[in-house]
Amino acid sequence: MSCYGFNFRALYRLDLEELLEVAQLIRGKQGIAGLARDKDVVIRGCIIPFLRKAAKVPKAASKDEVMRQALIRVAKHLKVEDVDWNQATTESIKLRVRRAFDELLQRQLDKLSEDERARVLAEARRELAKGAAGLGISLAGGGAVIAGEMSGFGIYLATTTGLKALSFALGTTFSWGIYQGATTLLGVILGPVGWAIAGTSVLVTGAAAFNKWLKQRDSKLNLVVISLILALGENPFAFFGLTCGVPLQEVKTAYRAMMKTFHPDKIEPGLPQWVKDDFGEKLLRAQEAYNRILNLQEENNGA
Amino acid sequence: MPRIETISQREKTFFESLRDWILGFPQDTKILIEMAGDNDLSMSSRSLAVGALIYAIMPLDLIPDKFGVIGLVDDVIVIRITLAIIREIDPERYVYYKGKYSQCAVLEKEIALLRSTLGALYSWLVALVKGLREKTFKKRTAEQIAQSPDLREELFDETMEYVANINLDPETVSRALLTTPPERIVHLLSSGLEDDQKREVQQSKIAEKLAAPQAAFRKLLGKGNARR
Repeated sequence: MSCYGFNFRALYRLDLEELLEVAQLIRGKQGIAGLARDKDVVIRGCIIPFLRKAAKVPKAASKDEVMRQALIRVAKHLKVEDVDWNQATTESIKLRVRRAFDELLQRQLDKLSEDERARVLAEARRELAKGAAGLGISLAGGGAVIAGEMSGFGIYLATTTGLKALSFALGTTFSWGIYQGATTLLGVILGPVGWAIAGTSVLVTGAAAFNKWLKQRDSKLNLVVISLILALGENPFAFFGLTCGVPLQEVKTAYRAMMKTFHPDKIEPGLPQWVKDDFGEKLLRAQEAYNRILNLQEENNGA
Repeated sequence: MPRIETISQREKTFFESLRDWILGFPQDTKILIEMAGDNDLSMSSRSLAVGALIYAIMPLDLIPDKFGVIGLVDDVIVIRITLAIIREIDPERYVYYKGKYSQCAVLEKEIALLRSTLGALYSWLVALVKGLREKTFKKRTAEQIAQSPDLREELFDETMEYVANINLDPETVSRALLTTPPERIVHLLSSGLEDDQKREVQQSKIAEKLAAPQAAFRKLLGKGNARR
């Protein structure tokens, strides 16, 4: 049922670099120096045993059960409530954890003073402009960034600064993939340029707040599970309003319909800019979701 | 035995091969896992693959794993011999593995190298490998494991966990190989043998023959560093 759940198979969707970064969260930088660069070794030999131990799952339980229990533990830790833990799919729990995490980060950002926030924004803008310049694009007019600031840029900042803070506190660096997972919203706001440059450093703030969180008992488990959730991304089927595993043809139909509606060439020229932006955003997300479904399909055929 | 000399000049030296085998150990174990579940191989080969895996991940084999990377020396040699025996039993199916994995493709040369370097010790190791089908893991025989997808999965997980906990950093591996006296390697390799066999190994001066390849390996690594 839950093809985009939090399960053993799903881990193989991540690339080796992302898996190694999760392994680094578990073992530290030194600890992965001699670790074999192999997905099976990292997943079966490092991540699953860690989750099993940290979530105190019995040795006899399956690997899927290990992941489920670890996820539930983190969900409870983040005060996710009103869930029937025995019945809920890992996919639905995963989404709840993700939301709880975003809220937590947002709260951290809200705690910043106005000065600090202004500094974060200024720094972010500088970094983004630098990154854009590197790609031969000028953000001098501020268009994309300013639009971003107005429509949820804060969420992007909350997520990236949050991740940065976590990275900083642990002395690790998250992969582009993890940022990408965390900054879906950003990608929409800034478009492809934003995707390409959001990985550049954004001012590290709020590390202290996160340190406090990290020092709690299950901190490493929280961090590993959340990193996995972010890296795994969201269910692309849900974006099209479809259930997991429907025939590819149905996805194609939905995708084409969206393309027809939202493509810049098809939009009524007289529409206000914000509507056009919104359509552009939907188009980008549709493309992203569609590509992910294609990848998923390929994996399933390969397995 | 002048043959060692010619081999070490033409081909990789023994220690260079050892290093590459150790670095390729994770992949080796995955090949054995695949073989264990391969219906196109005879049950005899499949049980042997399982036996070799159990041997490799068991803490008490010839070279106990507390010796770190050096503890893998016997494992990688046992795996080479295992592959050679499987190739003998199922030559037709082996062609598939030969095409898929470089380790399987170069096996012939490597066996020749092992045989010429280890002499009598090699034959005894072959006998040891042939007995690996008798190995058990969690009270299951190698054959039972080869036949059961669940048990194979369990062995796969255990193996990967074992592999994940060894330090396969290339520099660490090279350093360990350079700093361990050859006598020690031979001693460790023959620790599972009968007393009279051990004596014979000692008399055959295998360790002395390892000194030159080890020196060549040192030289090779030195060159690599200089270039950098």
